[in-house]
Order: sequence, then structure tokens, then C-alpha cells
Amino acid sequence: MKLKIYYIDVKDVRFGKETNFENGILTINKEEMIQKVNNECFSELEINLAYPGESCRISRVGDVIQPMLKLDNEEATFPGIIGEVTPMGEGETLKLRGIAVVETYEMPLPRNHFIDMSGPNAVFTPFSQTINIVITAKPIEGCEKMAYGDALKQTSLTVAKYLAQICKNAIPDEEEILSYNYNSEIELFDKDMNRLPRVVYIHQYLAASEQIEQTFYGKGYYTSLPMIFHPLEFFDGAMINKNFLQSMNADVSYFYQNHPMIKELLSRRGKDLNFSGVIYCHTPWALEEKKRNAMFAVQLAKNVLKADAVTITKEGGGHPQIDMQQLCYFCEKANIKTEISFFELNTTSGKYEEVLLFYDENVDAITSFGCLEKIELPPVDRVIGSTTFAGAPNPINEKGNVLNNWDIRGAMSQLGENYFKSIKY
Amino acid sequence: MTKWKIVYYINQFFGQYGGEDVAGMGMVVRNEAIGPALNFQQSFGEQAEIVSTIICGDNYFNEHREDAENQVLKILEEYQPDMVVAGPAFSAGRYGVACGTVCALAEEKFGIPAITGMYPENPGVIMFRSKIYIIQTSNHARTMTKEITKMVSLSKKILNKQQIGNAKEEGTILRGLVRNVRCEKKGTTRAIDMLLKKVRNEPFETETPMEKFDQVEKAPAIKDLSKATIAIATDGGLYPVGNPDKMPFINSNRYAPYYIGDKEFLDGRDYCILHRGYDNEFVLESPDRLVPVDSLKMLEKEKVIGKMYPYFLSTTGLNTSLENSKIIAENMIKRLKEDGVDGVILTST
Repeated sequence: MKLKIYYIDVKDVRFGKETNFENGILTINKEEMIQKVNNECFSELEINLAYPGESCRISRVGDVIQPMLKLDNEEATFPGIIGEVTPMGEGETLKLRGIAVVETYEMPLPRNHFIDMSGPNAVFTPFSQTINIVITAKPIEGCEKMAYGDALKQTSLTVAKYLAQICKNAIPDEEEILSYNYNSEIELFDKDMNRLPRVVYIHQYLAASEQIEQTFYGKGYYTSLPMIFHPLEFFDGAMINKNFLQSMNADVSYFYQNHPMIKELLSRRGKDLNFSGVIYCHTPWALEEKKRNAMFAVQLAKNVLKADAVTITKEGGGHPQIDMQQLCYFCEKANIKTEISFFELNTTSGKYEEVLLFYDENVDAITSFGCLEKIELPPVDRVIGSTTFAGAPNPINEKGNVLNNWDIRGAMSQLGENYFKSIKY
Repeated sequence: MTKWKIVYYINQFFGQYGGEDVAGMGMVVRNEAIGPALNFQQSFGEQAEIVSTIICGDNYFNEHREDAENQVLKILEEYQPDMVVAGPAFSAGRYGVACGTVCALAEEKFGIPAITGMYPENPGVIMFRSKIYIIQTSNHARTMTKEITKMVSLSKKILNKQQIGNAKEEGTILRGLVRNVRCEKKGTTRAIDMLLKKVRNEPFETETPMEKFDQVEKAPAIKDLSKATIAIATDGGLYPVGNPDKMPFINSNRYAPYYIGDKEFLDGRDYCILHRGYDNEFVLESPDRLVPVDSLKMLEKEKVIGKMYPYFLSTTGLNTSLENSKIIAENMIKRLKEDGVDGVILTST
């Protein structure tokens, strides 16, 4: 399968009378866009722009999305949510760089996120470096949480598609061709005299219930057997974050659209490893289910993908660690070498305490994607979204708020889209 | 170029006053580098100046702790150093405690960075390791030059506000603390590097070390449930409206008992939830979903159980450390045992 991605760098975004894209400047007629993306669940829909370096805080951030468009089948963009369900990872796709669509969630949530466009908290997130098109949608009275979340997701994806559509005739700044075939390429690097180790990636996902879910083609799989997915599907908008209720444990869609682990494996294919495939693996609640699930996933890794080694990432908080441990246990028993990576919770006190919820000698290689730390929120000039914020004692533009680094959207990535690790000292 | 001002603390022995016979001597301040302080000065070079060396008898410091502390505070206030260095104390216990005390005072009272050096079994280690950096030394002063070199290297990093590595890299005793550092390589790159090393049977180092847990023995089963008193305890963070006990909502170290009495069920209007780890809506609608009073009352009527304990014990289990969990459990168990409870149902979210 071959996927050609055209990248367009957007250097500035402005509101104006016309909607167009010229010389790297994206001009949007705001009213026109709002009309196109509005939803009956909203009593009010506001769109704001936030620029890097501004004294601005985007409050109650839900998801962040990279604007994109399926060039050869526009109707299929973001399949299963606003697009037709169509196989992804093939053909031509347009992606905009330098900008991001940010949704704010205007209903009460157990936890909120924010993005600072400047100041000490800006360095933790890549979304302080993008020009952000921020969607703030107020729900109509009596709107159900689930209906609101669905509407918000539809609107933000529609905006992401709409922005890419505006730019679709521009000359791309970069082209990238990704190709990967399960049938032939798995064997490719085996023929070599120096056979490369076959590495399989297990993407452990969390889909607990409606709106605590990572979706694939528009659906969260609350119960599911492990499945083999095509690596290129991930880059093509097939995977979207719809986790509003436990959002701190989930990566943003922007990271899925540029899946860092799959990117890493693709880039090293043929050099020091043979990328042998991706297993999409659920995180169930009960221990017995976790065992079954891990067993089946390892069977796929061993017997179908013929793995020598497996790397695993997770989504969710504490209990998904047990799934990782189970996967390692069954892998190592099957003579497959394992490594797991995750973000360390339980460290808000600054003390190093039990980060792991299990003890298993099979799990001897762990990469830290960082740990929880306290952060202070300095006052800012402008807040986009609500000034009240779950967990913050004061209005979010005032002094005296101490939160954790996972409250910064994009600062914590369980897929490894950052440069932090924890150290024990 | 700025010259860093350093105050150095040593005991009577390293201060060249004598051994055990003069361990009772009081505190002396000398405006020069003496003994290990001189080694430190030479090793550090021009950028630092030992503005004073504090010398004190080990017995005096430990027997007149309050006086000694006050004198140290006065000296630090007077000299306002950029850093405080003490020892190294090797395996000398009283000296180790004095070094730790001086350093901790500097950090806590003035925010002045401070380091010392000790042998891991020095009692000063347990007392001060979470508060200050302690270079891990041998148990004998013959390695003085080596230890001073390590202390100088860490001091330079601290003074120049450079990133300080993990305990192994810096040669420090593990403080039991954790924080983030920025790496050159992305998380995913480091992950695959580690995996491939493992595949090639090359040495690799896990970034998150694993620790062994205590084994908990199962309690024997209740012999006659129909005579047993059963309690409910939860970590779902259910408290009376207004949170009268000001219970913490994250990394809590306590629980609170709330009276149920004769209620047949819990009314959501009487309660609030302090727990940001799950969607509270469904429990607020009917708290029995978290604290199943309705079911236990039914079992009580049907005589399946003897009776329901008339309180539920509540805490918030979110990012709670093992240390705090143990404290909460011990306190819960104490109460339940005193009140003759035979079994407890733990509900979690």
C-alpha cells in the first residue's frame, strides 16, 4: 500500500472578507465558516485564533486536530465520523502544518486541559508553536453530554477538513511517500544475509465507554479481540480521539495523525529492524479478560507476524499497566523480546514511589515518557474558553493556580511524542 | 565573572583541633578554607571562594542541637553564601547528622543549595536524603580526594543551574525523588533503541526500575456470615455535601467515616464527590452504585449477613502513593477492628 502525503506550511491565519490561501497566508471568512460547521446542539459557536508567543491561555481544551483532506476522495475524510467509511492509508492526502484545530469543551468535566501560547508552560506542548484555530461551542440548554461531545467532534473535524480544502490547490511545501505491504515487505529484509530482527508494535488502546474512547473509523471498540491493522491507516485520519471524560490519559488526535511510534518503526525499517506490523489491542477491565486478550495478541505476534521483538505503548491510567505486563509475560514465554513505554503517574508529590502496579521479572525494559509534576499557572492577558477550570481554585487567568503537567494539552504523550523522561535522584 | 561564595562545614577532627577528646568543642568560624574545605577550594578553582569554614565538635552539635542550629542560621545570614558544603562525613554518625542538619537548614530556611557526602549506612543518610543531595562516599577518609572531586562536580552543576542527572550519573545517594528531564532523543527512539539492545543481547538500562511489593496474606474466610458485621469502604471520594472534613482530592493520606444509621439507601442530594479520575454523574445520581447500602440492607433483612456496620469509610484514591495507601489502610483497619467488624467490602472506581 502506498500513501502520498502533501504538506502545506501555513505561515499565518487571519479573519477576512474572502476565504482563500495565498503566499502561505490563510484568510478565513469567519461567518461563512461558522455557518458551514455549526450544529443544532450549540447555542453559540465562536472561533478564535491563538498565535505562538501571545499571552494567551486556551482553556478547557478537548482535542487538537491537524487539518487534512483525502485528495482522491474528499467525502472519505475522517471516515466514520464526518466521512464515509472507506479504507485509509492509500492514495493521496493533504495535511496542513503550522496550524491546528483546537476544541474547547464547554460543559463540566472531571478534568480540563489548557494550552499556554507563551510563558513557562508553553515549552511543554508543541501546540504553543502552532497557530491555533480554537472552537468554543456553548451547548443549548438541556443538551446531553454525549450529544454535545458528538456535535463538538463533528464540528472540529469539519473545520479541520474545511481548512485543508481551502488550501488544496496550493503548491505543496513537501511531499512524503509512505509505503508498506504486509504480504511482501515482511519478507523483504529476511532475505538479507544479516537478517534484521522483526519488530511488532502493539498499540494498546483505551475504549471504556462512550466518550472515553479512542475511535478507529469512527468507532470505539469497547470489547474486541486484538486485531492487525495497517500502519499507514494511522496517518490518514482513521484514528480519532473521542475521550472527553478521561482525556488526561489519552493522546490528542494530532499525535495519532502523526503516530510517533509507527513513524519511528517505518523510518528504521531495513536499517536496524524489520517492521513486521501493528496489533491494535484493547484494554479490558477484568484481569481474566486482560489475560485472554494478551494471549490472543501474542498469538498474532508470534504465529502471524512472526515477531522477534515487541514494543508496547498504552493509553489510559493505572490498570492498562497490567495489560502491558500480561503481554510481556506471554511474549517472553514465547521467546519474543519485549519493551514497554509509558508516562509515570503517582508522582505528584515529587517523591519516587511505586510507579509500577505489578512485579514481573519478564518486564525488564521500560522507557519513561516522563512523569507527573506540579506546575504553576501565571496570569495571562487573554483566555479563550471558560475562565473556570476543574481543579483550579481561582479563575484561570489569575494567580495561585497549581496544576499538574498533564493538564497542559499535548505535554503528556503516551505514544512518545515528546522528549521528556523521568529521572530518579 | 562571578565568584561563587561558599560556606563550608567540618567537624573538630577535620578542622585539625583533635579527635574524640575535643568532640565537645563549640562552634568556631574561620574566614579561610581549612582541611577538606581547602581541598574543595583547590579542586573547584578560581570561580569559587570559601568565605568561611565552620568547625564544630560532633558531641557539641548533637548535644546542643538547638544552640548549634541557631548559630548556623546566624552565620548563614551574615555570609549569605551561594552554596553550603559539608563534610564528607564518611561513616561517622554524629558528624553525618551535623552535616545533614547544616545543609537542610541552608535549603529550608534560606533556599541556599547545599550538599554533603556520606557512606550509605551513615544514620545521617536516612534522616536527610530526601531533603538534600548526598554524595555517596566510601566508609573511610582515605578516599577524600575522590569524594571531593565528585562534590565539586555536582556543586558546579548546581551553581551553574545545569541539568542534574540521576543518582547513578551524579554519584549521589538516591533521594527517593523523581522529576522530568529533557532528552536529546524522542521517547519512541529511546524505546526502540532499548528494545534492539535487548534483542542483540547488549547491556541496556530500564528507565523505570521495578520494585518488589510486600506480600499480603489472605485473611481466613468468615465462618458464619449470618452473624458477621460487614462494612463498606470506598476510594471513590464520596463525602457529605460541602466536604465538611476538607478531604483532599488527590494523593490523600486519610479517610473519614460517615454515618449511615438506619437509612435504606443513600440519597445523592446529601453527598458530593471529590474524585477527578472518573465521571461522577452516575454515582451522584445514586450513591448506592458506589457504596451499596441498599444491597447490604437487603442482605441484612434476609439474614444473609448479621448486620451492616452503620458507617461507610471514604477516601479519594487518585494518584495515591503506596505510602499514603498504607497509612489510610492501617487507620481504617484500626477502627474496624475496634468496632468488631468481621468483613469489609472495598469498592473502587
